Amino acid sequence: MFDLYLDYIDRWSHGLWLTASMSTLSVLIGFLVALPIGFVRSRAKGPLAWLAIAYVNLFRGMPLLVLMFLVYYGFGQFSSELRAMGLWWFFRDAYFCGMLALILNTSAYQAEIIRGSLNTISTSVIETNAALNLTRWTAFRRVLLPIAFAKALPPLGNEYILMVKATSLLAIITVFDLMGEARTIFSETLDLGVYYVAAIHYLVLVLAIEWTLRRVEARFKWMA
Amino acid sequence: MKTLFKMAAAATGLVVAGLASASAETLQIGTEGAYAPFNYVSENGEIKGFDIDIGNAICAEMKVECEWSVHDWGGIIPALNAHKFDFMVASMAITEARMENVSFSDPYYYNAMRFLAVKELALEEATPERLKGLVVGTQQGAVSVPVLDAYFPDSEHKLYPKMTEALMDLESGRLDLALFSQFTAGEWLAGSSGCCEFVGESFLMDGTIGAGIAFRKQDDELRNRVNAALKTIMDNGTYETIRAEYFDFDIMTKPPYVSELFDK
Repeated sequence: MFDLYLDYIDRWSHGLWLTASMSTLSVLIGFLVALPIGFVRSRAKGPLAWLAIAYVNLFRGMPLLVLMFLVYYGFGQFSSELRAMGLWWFFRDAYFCGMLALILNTSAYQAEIIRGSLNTISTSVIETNAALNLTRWTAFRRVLLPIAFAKALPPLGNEYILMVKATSLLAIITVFDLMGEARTIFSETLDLGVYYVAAIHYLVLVLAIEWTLRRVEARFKWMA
Repeated sequence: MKTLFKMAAAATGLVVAGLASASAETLQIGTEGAYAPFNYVSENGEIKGFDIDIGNAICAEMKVECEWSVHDWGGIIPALNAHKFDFMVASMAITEARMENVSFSDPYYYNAMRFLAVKELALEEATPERLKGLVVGTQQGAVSVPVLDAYFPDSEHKLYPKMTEALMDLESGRLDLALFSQFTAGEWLAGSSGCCEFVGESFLMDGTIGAGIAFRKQDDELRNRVNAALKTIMDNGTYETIRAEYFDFDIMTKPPYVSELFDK
């Protein structure tokens, strides 16, 4: 089994790098997208709130596999229109398409996590803000957001780990992450040991993420 | 008594003659019936396809009647050896392993690989130098993957879960070329928007022999007759007429092996 690793070390490193970088980047960008949506879901009413609900329902309701297929092959059908609009450089690239699908998916989930944590902040905190004469923006930026973030950290970490595994779907749009590389190596060797090597890679990656998350959580613990 | 004997002899002779003529005139041919357009069963139950037309042309050349039957692919070699039919025209690839159980005619067609390219590139040839830096797609796990790895290391390779997805990307322009079996590529090309064309020569995987008609190992006499008839229809144009009904490209001439074409 060790030689399955050593013989294909380039492939494994490429897959590991791709899985780690794409999941991390999509979760981070997804968080930035989810923040306003989650806030709107928690606080706003009216058309803005409907839009946020529509976004969450659309991208949470659609399997990531379908989303990836639609973004990559679906937009591929309109290549001449996209060329005319100057957007083809983005949709031509499988990596960008995959990233877009991952971000749309994870931001919908993260928005719900943020909404949930904002909703659990007790009214006494909000009353304290008013008593201290903080403006709404300062109160949000300096008090509500850090508390909500601290509360949201465990489920956000969970979402991150789910995304690590979700990247294995990227192989359908020709982006070869760990699982895609494993399948390629398997088709050459026909040795099921390949999947043990892949599983160990995922395990090590998830353990590293967990270790990091625990340290971040410890720093925010007093607020949560 | 004498007349009775004569009558009996005449009757026996008639029966024997009847049997002899029947067995000389009718041969049973087996096929799979699930491999369009080579062999398939049409909506109204007829067995049709390229294999069937070729088989019938061979029978006509041998001046025999032929009857077709369909059999499960998994059990088709045992069925041949169990005398369910006399020979098999079922697009079976000739391999060493199969030759342990059956014998084959000369190849009656070749399933070659060929590059498809976006027309705008105006490639004209598909050599490793010409394809340098271009994006070539094919199916993950297919025989074309090692060909690309070995002979086209300077092209970018994109691997797709299914052939149709690679072809979608060829049509949208994400791929410059795709490498597939000439048959599947040709079928797609016929129904595509006209974005793409075949480039370069078609070629065979090293070690592949072609599709053959299979016989029981002991039936050498029948095999020789079929081989002779096959050669005749190939020489007199019957084969080409049939081929043109199904495919727009040559499948009768043996293409070069990939190593002959691209080595040096």
